[in-house]
Amino acid sequence: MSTSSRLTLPQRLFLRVLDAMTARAIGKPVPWMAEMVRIHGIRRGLVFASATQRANELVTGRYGIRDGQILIGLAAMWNGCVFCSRGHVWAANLYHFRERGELFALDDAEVLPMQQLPDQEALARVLGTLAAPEHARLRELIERQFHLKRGDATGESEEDRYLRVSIATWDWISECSIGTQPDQVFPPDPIARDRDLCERYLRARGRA
Amino acid sequence: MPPSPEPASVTQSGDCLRARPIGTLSVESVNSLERQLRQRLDSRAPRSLAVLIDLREAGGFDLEIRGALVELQRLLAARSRRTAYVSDRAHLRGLALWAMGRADDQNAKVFMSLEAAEEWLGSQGGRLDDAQRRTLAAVEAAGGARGAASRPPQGSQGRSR
Repeated sequence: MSTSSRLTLPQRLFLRVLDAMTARAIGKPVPWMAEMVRIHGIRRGLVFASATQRANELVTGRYGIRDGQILIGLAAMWNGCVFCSRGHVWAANLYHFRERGELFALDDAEVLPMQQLPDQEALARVLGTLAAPEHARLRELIERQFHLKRGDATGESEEDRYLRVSIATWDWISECSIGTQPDQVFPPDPIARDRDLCERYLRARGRA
Repeated sequence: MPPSPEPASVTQSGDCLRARPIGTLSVESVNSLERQLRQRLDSRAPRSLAVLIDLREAGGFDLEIRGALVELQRLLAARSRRTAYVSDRAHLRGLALWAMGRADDQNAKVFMSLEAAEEWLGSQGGRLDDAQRRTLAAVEAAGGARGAASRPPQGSQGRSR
């Protein structure tokens, strides 16, 4: 029985509205929205939609769209979420590719294999791919985020408020998105509506 | 001939059962875990024991275990006072989270560290409620009102890891 068929009629209508809004924003509905409605219902679902949208704005507003998407993707990666981890790193890649005409150091295709590694090894691999001096700030943030997520961060950083947004929000989203399959992943961002850019990016990665 | 050893060990420490599967998680190892946990949980009053499942020596899993894992999680949802998983691999954490969702067990959570897992076992409140509360608090703390987010000042850095 599909998730949608387990929803009440008002919930199915709510889902249709959410799917339509999501499709208008990012090109198509996310595959886990029915699960979100099943878990939260309508009232709490509205809180979820508003809060997660705001969280995305806060993180990308603070760190820029590319690095914000990387931090969001990694927050989801530590949860084992397939959709949000690869999806947001993919979106970051598209922004970088559009702005610079070159491929970003962290390939979205590397994200899911890293989820099978021990955490420290996965972190080292992420930091290693971002070894270039221009990514020094991003590396700091990624490492800080990791330790906040694991619960062994020491001291205080003025970035903690924003990094905690990424961690907490994608903990909440992962509750709904965790069942997504790898072939359902796409960049959950308005940039995904640029089909020409998406295809050029995939060709550049050798995946078209 | 003595019986073959169970592929996963379950021990008790106080009011907490600790399970520690080793190697690739298989249907056999998950069923073994369920058998041992059921035996111990059934010998006590419902929800008198917490359960900690330590996956740090589990390297991976067969996809076939998903049904068995959901059955295990349903047992824990019904009988365990509180359940925590700990794993140092994201894909195992994702698998555990998925099983908790399928079993509708809000009293279970998965962690990257043993310390955080043990802290959860001593706490109260559902996982989903906690996720919502933390998100709303974090958004509020980071400047909840629209337009309040700002770029960091030049050269700002955290002082610690």
